[in-house]
Amino acid sequence: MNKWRVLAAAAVVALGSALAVPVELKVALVVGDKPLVMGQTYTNPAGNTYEVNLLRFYITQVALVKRDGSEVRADGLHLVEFSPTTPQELTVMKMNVPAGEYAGIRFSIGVPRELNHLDVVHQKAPLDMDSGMYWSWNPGYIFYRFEGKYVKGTTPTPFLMHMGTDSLMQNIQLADLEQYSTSIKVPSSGIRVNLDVSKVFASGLGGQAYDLNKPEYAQVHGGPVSQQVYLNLLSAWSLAKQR
Amino acid sequence: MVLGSLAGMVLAASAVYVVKVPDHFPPMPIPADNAMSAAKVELGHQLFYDKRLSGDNSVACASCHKPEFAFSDGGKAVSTGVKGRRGTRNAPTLTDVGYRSRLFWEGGSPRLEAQAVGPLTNPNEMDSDPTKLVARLKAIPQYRAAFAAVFPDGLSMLNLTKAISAFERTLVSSNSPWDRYREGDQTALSVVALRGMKIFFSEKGDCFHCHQGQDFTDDSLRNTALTTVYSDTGLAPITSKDQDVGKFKVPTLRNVELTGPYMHDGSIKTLRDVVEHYNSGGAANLNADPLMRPLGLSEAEVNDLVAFLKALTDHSFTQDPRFGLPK
Repeated sequence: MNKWRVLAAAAVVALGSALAVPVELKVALVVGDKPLVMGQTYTNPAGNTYEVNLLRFYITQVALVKRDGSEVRADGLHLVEFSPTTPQELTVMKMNVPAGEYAGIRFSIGVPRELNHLDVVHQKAPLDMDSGMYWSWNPGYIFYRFEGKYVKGTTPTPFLMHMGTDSLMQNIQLADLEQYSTSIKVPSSGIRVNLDVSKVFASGLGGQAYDLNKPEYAQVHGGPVSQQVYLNLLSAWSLAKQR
Repeated sequence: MVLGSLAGMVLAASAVYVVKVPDHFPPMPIPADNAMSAAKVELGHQLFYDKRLSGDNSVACASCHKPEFAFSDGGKAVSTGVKGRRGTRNAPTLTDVGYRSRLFWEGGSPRLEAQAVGPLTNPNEMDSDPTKLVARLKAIPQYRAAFAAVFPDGLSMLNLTKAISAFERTLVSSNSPWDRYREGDQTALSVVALRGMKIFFSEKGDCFHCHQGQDFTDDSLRNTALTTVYSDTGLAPITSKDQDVGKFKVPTLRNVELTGPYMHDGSIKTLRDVVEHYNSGGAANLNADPLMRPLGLSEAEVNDLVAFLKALTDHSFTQDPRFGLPK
């Protein structure tokens, strides 16, 4: 290769890295417009009184989206865990992206098909067996694991919702390319995304209420209810006010 | 009491362990990432019988895989897990399970280590959370020491499943009357069983196309026309293919006399009724295996077949102290 081309390439790399700035992606759990407090009770549309004790999910295929629809992608698959011992807002990943104004962000919740069916014995974290997300009797991993308690009669009773399988990988697009209602500026103190955990309960099957008193809603391990939850959660994500 | 022998295990950690199989068996396949050792097998043996592996300390692997029933659940169609919760499928035998290339009734798990996570975490079975389970076991000094002796990285969910799998790979049954007959003892099979053997391996009886090899299974998945509508759809949820609805794994027939009731859901009570099911050709089902058709076996031929199937029972396996309740 001619040495001028090498130098030119080096200059582009140097210029690119000079403009890229580190930025954190932060996810905050909310219920409606209020921060979620783990252990505090809430009421869902079916009238169940519930509290949240655990939320664990995979996030991957993160990209900042420009106004022209092009993307700046960030590599990696990250397992995020919220529990009573974690803050309600967590930094889920750090990336380096060129400074500027973006229309928004997109990401996927789950494990890509090409990683979802490998030999678990050979996988490193976060896809190892000790992640607590490996699903032996359904193929692949649990993508979204949501657990808590609800009051059955007068007794606090565990509920859980485990969603996974390739067809239920969620692609979340928080970039409005038509009406410009979303915007992210970099540098930034963090790109903030809200996840309204209560949306899990938005609807049950066929317009039924998602009533935790019914066993099919209290213990969800894939199956038809998890397909409904997939739909319920599509509107659970939103861009928070960027500070 | 259960942990009494764990202390002695530490000394034996490096001892090589070879799974002994007879000449008419292939060597036991041992994955390179989970080499056998005497200490690992013994640790797995202890774990297999330990109810503390379940969420509420009430259920062990051995609770539903009982040695006296060739590691199946002794007459129960489906098993009872923690808090009296019932599953939906019949607990399969672990006879020669180390040879199986697919696990679970729908064949969805490729290896024992990965499979073991299922019953450990299934809410209807042992209902353990991996993180909490590892923390619970780490609080038991004998387990901490035993894992440290066997695995450089100590106690983890992965190493727990590796130890249990190592024990399972030792569960070889090869001393039935049929095996003795194979090895040259002409008196090992009764006249009735010998007649049944001929039917078994004939195109008329046609058992052998699926139930073949030393364990009488080709490890394939097939729809055996058990019913017209399958409430448990078997392989289909994994492949998303209509033609896989109702496909389940061809089970081994070794020790089949001891592993009833039969089929993936335990819906057929006796061995004779299973043979009658195949003799009838089964229910109308679009996905039925092409081999399913009325066989036209006489009453006497059905009896002969059942006698042959009972000649696959190995009582030395079910009574082997190496596999029973650990001392």
